[in-house]
Amino acid sequence: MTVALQQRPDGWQAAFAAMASPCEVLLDVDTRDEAAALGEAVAGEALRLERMLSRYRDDNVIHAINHAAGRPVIVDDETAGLLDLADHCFHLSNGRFDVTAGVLRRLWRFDGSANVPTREAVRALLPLVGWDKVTWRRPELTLPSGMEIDLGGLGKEYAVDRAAQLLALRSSTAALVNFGGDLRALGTRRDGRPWRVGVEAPGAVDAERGAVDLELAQGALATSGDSRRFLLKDGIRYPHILDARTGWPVTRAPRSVTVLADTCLEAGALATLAMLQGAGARAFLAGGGATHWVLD
Amino acid sequence: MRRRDGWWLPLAAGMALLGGCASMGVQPWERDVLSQPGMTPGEDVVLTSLDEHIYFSKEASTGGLGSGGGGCGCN
Amino acid sequence: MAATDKLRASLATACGLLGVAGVKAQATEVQSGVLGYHEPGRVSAVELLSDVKHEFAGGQVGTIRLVYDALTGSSASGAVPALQKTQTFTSPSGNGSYSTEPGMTPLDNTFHDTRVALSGGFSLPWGRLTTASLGLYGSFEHDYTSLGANASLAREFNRRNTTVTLRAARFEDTINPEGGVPMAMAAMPAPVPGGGGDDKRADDDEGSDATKSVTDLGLGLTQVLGRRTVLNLNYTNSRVAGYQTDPYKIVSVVDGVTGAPAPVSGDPTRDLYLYESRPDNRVKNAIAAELIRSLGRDVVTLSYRYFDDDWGITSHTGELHYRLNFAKGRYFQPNVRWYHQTEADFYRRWLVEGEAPAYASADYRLGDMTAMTYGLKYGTTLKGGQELSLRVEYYAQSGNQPAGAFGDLAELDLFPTVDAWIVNVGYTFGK
Repeated sequence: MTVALQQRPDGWQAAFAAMASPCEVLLDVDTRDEAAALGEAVAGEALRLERMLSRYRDDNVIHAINHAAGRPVIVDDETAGLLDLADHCFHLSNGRFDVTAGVLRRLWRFDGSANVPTREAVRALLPLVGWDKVTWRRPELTLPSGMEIDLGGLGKEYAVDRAAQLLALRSSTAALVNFGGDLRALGTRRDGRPWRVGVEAPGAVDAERGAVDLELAQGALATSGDSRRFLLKDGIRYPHILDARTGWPVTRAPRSVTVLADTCLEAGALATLAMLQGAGARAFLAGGGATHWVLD
Repeated sequence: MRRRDGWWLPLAAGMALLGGCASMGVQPWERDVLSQPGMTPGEDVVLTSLDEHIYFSKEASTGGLGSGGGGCGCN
Repeated sequence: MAATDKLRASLATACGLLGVAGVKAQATEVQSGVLGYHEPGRVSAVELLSDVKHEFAGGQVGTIRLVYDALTGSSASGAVPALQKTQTFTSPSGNGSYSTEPGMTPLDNTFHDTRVALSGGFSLPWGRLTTASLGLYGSFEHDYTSLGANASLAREFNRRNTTVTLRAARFEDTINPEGGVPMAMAAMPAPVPGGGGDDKRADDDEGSDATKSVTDLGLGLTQVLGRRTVLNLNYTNSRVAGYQTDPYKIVSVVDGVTGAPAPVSGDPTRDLYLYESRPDNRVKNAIAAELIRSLGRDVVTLSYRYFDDDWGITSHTGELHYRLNFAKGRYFQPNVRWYHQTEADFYRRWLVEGEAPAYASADYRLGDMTAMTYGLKYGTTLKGGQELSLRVEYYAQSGNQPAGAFGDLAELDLFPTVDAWIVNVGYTFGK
């Protein structure tokens, strides 16, 4: 993986591609060497997680779990932690958030076309969806034959937090980690300036208007919902977030939900949980005191 | 000079009222300046403690902005 | 369904267990400092302080602080200078004596002490917005021990813009002065060379210890007023019960006409000095406010404290710091402090022969005085993130000539300005 380094007015930027997104780290360092060292460390961690969570590899724990054909699999601590979080989110969302809903992608391809599957097809796949059908007794996971798990849902946010932790352990440099819009700020720069971040409105990807400007010193932002992946049929827009209980996209969901929290994972989980509430997204977030932006 | 007892009650009450002003403050994303060094009360614990010890030893007053260390035979 | 505080807390915990809870999870920070204090011709002191703070993954914080200080030199004993004679005083141990030339302020030069203090604290979050803390304290010198415990509760409101803190502390001090606890207002005895024993000055056989307890209560409020402004308010109430006299300080007794030292009745070769005595109870109140404001790249801090107690002392303290920030974490911070106090009810610079008040003290630290501090601090951040600072200060206390000085006393400087140079180096490291 190549890490591109560039010096900008607000610091050195280390950029690379991972997890299907443009990733960058802004570092408050003075030399190219320091930027390279830290940038490469972050890129290495992102690559490691990409490989760990990828459904398309045959050498990671996800592959082992998805091809165990009903037999129990012992997982490592990191995967166990992610499964614990998945379990927690499943219960918090009353079943809407479900890491076993990945099989539904065989029917749903969100390419902007009008290929909406039939009700019968979705109903036929539903028996293979349901975290409650899975036996998770840490560190042992048993999936019924035919079921799959996909931990990529919060993978990018987790990677941002891991990168932040790595940077914090290696140096006391102020930094901004940004993986495709899921980001985390680590401290104010030495000259006192914070990191400037914009939260964009969907449908106006390049427009200046409709964006909220934040100045972050600590904290993380994550966004759920994406204006670029959807299906459009008969004037109805099907967003790519599926409700695992029904097998269908969440109804009347906002176009995007952005949440500010202490960690990217927490922000991402809240944003996703909110999105899964559909029309109730705003009400869901309003009660918690979490700073958020909901855009329809 | 003597003040009547409890003169400090109105001040303490005023502090409590001040705390009730819910409209004052900033949004969580506006804490950039507040998180900079020098902006947090009682930030430098070492210097505060050393200064308090000097002034406790050389002057008759105690108490201040809430640090309150321990006793010693200095005064 | 709503993202209640409870839901958010459970989510934060679940995320935290993945080890990414906070960038500073399991972080340890050490803040340390060395201070040198020097009053030309009087007291010098060195103090070392080290504060170790560790943050656990669950948000709990543990702190341990170690303090060491050593004093040498001499300090005013409370006696007034004599215009025409050399005065001789008995040293605190009762074995020896020291003298003061005519016209000079009597200084007790047996003043040397070493102190070690150890304290620890533990704070834990109680829900998302509340923090509870407990701490223990111990200070040990050869003639003074202080043991204490403290607790506090802090709660945040209004999107963390408001913090209210309640504090309570209790200290039990034991004073074991050299030479024993002197009888209140008793005459300083003649030295007994080669003598020993702790009860040289005490008339009671109950031992030579004295105790006092201190109970402190505090209420604090921190309010964010804006993006660049913070206000900090604090009120403290302190009750002290027990022995509060300084066992080493004396009060001169002078002839009512000449103002010269009065002789001891029955031994005219010696002058009369009485050990001071302060009341056994003291209630103190203090209210302070601090305003911190960011101006561009700089930060200005202004603070004021009003203090009042039932010994008749009232004081005002005003402080101003201006922090000039430069690139790469470097800053200069000049500071100035103004302090003014009124004297204690029982403050008597001298007693006239025949007077026998219940309480009297000539300790200049209880008198009418004004003190000014001028300082400059320089700080920088080193390559590894450590912080280094250097501060130099000049501190001067001055008071007026007490009213009613007569005879010889009128021609002497009874309240000389005491000044000191203070240098301090600070070092913070750790993640």
